[in-house]
Amino acid sequence: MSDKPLDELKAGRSINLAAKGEAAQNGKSDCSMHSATMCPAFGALRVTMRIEGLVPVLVGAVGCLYGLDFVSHFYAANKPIVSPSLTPRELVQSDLTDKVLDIVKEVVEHENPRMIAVMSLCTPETSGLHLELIPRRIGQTEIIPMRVPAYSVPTHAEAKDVAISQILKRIGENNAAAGVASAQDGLVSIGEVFPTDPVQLQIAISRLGIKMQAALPSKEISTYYDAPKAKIGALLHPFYDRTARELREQGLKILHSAPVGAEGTFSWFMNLGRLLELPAHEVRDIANDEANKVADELEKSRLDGTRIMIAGYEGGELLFARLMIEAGATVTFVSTSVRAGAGTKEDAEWLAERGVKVIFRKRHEDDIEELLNNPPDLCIGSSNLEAHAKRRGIPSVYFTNIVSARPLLLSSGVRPLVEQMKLILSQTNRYTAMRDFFADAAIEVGVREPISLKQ
Amino acid sequence: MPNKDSFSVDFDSMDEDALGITQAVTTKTPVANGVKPKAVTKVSGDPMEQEDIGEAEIGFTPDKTGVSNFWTTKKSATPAQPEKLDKNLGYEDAEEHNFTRRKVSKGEESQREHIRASASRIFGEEEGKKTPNIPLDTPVSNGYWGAMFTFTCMSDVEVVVDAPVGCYSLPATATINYTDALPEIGNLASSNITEVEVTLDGTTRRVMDAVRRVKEREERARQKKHLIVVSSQESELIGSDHVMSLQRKHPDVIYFSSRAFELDEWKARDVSLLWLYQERKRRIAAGLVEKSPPADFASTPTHRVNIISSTYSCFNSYADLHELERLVRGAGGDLYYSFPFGAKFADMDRLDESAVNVVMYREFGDSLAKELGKPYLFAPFGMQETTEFVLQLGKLLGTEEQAKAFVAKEKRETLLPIWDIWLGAPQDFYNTTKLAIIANESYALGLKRFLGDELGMEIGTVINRQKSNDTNNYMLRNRLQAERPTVVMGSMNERIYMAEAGLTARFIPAALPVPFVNRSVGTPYMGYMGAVYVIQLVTNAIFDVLFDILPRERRDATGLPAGPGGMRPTANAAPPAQSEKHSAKLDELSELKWRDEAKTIFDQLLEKVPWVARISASDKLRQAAVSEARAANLEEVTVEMVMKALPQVMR
Repeated sequence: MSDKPLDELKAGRSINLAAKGEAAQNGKSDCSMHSATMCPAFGALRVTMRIEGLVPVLVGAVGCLYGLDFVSHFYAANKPIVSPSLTPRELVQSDLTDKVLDIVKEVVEHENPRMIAVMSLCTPETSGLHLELIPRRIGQTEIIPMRVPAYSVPTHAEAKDVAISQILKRIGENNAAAGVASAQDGLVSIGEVFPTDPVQLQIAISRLGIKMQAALPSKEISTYYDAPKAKIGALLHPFYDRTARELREQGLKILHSAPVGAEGTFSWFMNLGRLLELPAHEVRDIANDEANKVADELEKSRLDGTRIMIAGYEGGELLFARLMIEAGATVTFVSTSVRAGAGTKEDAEWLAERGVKVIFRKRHEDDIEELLNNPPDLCIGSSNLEAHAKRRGIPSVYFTNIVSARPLLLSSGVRPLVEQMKLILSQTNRYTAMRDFFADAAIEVGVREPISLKQ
Repeated sequence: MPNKDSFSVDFDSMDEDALGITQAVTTKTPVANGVKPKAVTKVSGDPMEQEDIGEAEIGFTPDKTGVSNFWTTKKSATPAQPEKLDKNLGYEDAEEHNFTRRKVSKGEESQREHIRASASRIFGEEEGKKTPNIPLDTPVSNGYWGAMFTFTCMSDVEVVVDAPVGCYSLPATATINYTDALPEIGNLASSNITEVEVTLDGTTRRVMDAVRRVKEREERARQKKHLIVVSSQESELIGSDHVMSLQRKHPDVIYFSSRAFELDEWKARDVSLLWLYQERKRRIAAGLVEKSPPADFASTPTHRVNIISSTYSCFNSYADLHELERLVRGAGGDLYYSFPFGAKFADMDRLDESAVNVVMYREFGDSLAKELGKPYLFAPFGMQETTEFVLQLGKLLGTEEQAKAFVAKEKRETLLPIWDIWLGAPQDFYNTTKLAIIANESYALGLKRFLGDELGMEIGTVINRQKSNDTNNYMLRNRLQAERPTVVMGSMNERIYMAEAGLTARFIPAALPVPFVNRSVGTPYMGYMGAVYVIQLVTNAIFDVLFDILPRERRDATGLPAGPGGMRPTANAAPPAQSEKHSAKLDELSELKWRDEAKTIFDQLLEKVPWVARISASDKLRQAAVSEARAANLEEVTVEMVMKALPQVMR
């Protein structure tokens, strides 16, 4: 069972109910039939499977393990997952924890990894798997518990937060016990970005006299050990609440949002300067210079006169929307699966000032409704929204596959994405031609015609 | 007599039960001419030695001087004894002229054993170590997935699952992209339970909400769908059961307990199909639904054939079903109904109206076929089995002549490529092609029968996942690593194990999980078309292996050759500047002395390489080991140098 206290649970419910009331007033469904997130546990797998020297152990029912195996081997890493599946009898027996521990011990014996992440899914969490009874360390191996049941961690983005924060927590505790000092120097960035983004960031922040300590998530385990040495924790994506709490406890200062677009870059640098307690006028010169570099790029790559709808999972959509707007596009709608919070505040306000409708904790139906009511020229969406757009001849791509796979930060983040959007828009006639070709067939998705019609 | 293959690995020491692997009967591999010199039997009584010398057709044979002679086959390996020949010009004494096996001392023997063991360790087959109980990756899903994939492939059914968000998004919006190339399963909704429902409220309110929403949506779309509420592992665990509340509020909605924990996805499909049929009967009896309208096409009742077909998330089902339909028509059957794929809840009564049923998979559908009480056949693989299938179906339908004519026609048309391939050079490789097959029952057995029994390929590991559901993948990984097959047919998991081990084998998808678009109906593995397609796949995989082993000269980033024979030059090796110098250097290579242990381990290592790749690998390994020895300024090639060279050749 999760460690959430009952009042928090109830509070969560009342918030949900309030939101539902509002939705009902707007004449919308008050039942979230299709919430828009991957199975949340995937987020933890995505982070942990990519760490070399870490063995992921996933505890759950067979169906969960099969599905998560499947998607992780496509999206995370070509790495086996240790997956003890649990029978109903095992789930209700009191030695459930011992069973998991036995397997962890076997892994230590045969593989002797640096770290083992034990991730627990819905069913073991419900039936009482006591992750806290699993030793913190066996031999040289750190055993790190991660609770990621889908009913409690709302999105896979937030499960990434669980994974990273749990690793940082353990390192912090070890450091404290060993008397290792943290929060010394530099900046650690948190959030999955294109590999060249941290390099660009490093060059830019060196102008303020600080270095990049680490960029998380990382495939190197040592990067996680470097992270607490930084002075500033820059949360490039908005859902790292637990990680922020952990870093704060270890003495780091937290910087939200990311240097995306000219205005975004300027304010990000100003905020960084403030946290570093540097003289404002010095910081302003550098911030202005970096922002101008972005603006120069934005003059070369334009999207004027195009309407773009942005629907994603992880909160990075807000940053992307800012870039699109600065490139001249009209963005009327941004939806994300994460919740509104400190990390989204600045970007959401910036977007609201420009008349953009921003929806947090969205449902699949929100996206479809927007798509039907205000059809855009280009739809950046989830994999199933994409289908709805393309069926109507609207060019569409999956945010995770296309946008997340390109640089976004600073001046080098402008051209690749803007040009990519231009490329997709230039293909519009292909999308409409394809729609027209299949129009007279009137096919429902994936429904095979009965045999009689084929004969 | 079955001939134990020269490079198969002895797995006697492994615990077969723990591995959960069905070992195939080793296919006969013809013994090549001249491989076993006669005299060996006479000189040495040690079977171990016979095997050593007899099976290494290409290797090195040390002569008395201790200098190795590479690239001598058995015949030329016979040491010339000029003085003796001079004395016995008439060749009277046959014994004298035959190859004489060097006696192996006890000390030497134990050293060989030691080296054999160390070579084994490299490939992960440590003896005497207890089987690790580390469950790795999960190739089969559970009861909820099986039931949901079965119900949702009927277009007039809508499923509501009582589950947390992951149980909706994983199968319906994620894996379905890669198993069926569908953007989503459109007729699935979820109750999306959260911590509040799990700990406090129970899930009923959420489920009723979802049912109401789905009904409203149908009303708007003016559709009438059959709603089925399906349980998930989580809802079962917290004891949610909606039979009573559904009866009270929505009597037309059916509740189905998927027994998510108890059943695997295949058994669940079987159970669900039978349940659908029985539930429909009950509903008709209770007057809740109407009988199916008659089929809107003409058919002869005695010729009607129904297919108990695929569901969502069955590997390559689109092409296989298409081929099955073709075979049924060819045999003279009137294809009447495919259930559940392409079927409707409303026309299910047609299940009762066929003369014969064909069950597409051995994994599921059997129970329904038994319940229907008509004769039924399983879908066939390979030429022989398909022929039997067509003729048998003809017999059952009374269309024997048509079935026979179809087989005859197919031999001249569809199957002609197999005959041509068989007559030609590609077939030559089959005897030395080693396969590993890891798949569900239909595919594992079908492919083994066709490729092994009919085509004579050597089948190493075969895993029928229905028989050994709890395959120890940890051990399977070690086994693949040790067996080093030419071609692996399996799932993404095996592909990862191959990549981890750096196997040169080619991978052919044959089971889920694997992200693989297989929607063309031209790629069946079943039936006649399937036989042709599979032979094509495997042959091309062999060609691909061959492509990689032919020598090539690599070029560096500047476009210049990056070393002789594609080899990475070692850091401190002298640059091969002039071609003259270069060839002189290559000549030197073979003159460098080899330590005995180094030669032995060299042989041991090569035994692990698939046959087709062995010549090239031995060449590369020899050159690389000598280069390493030279780079290290050694007078002779040592074990360390061979091991150092190994990654350059075998990754």
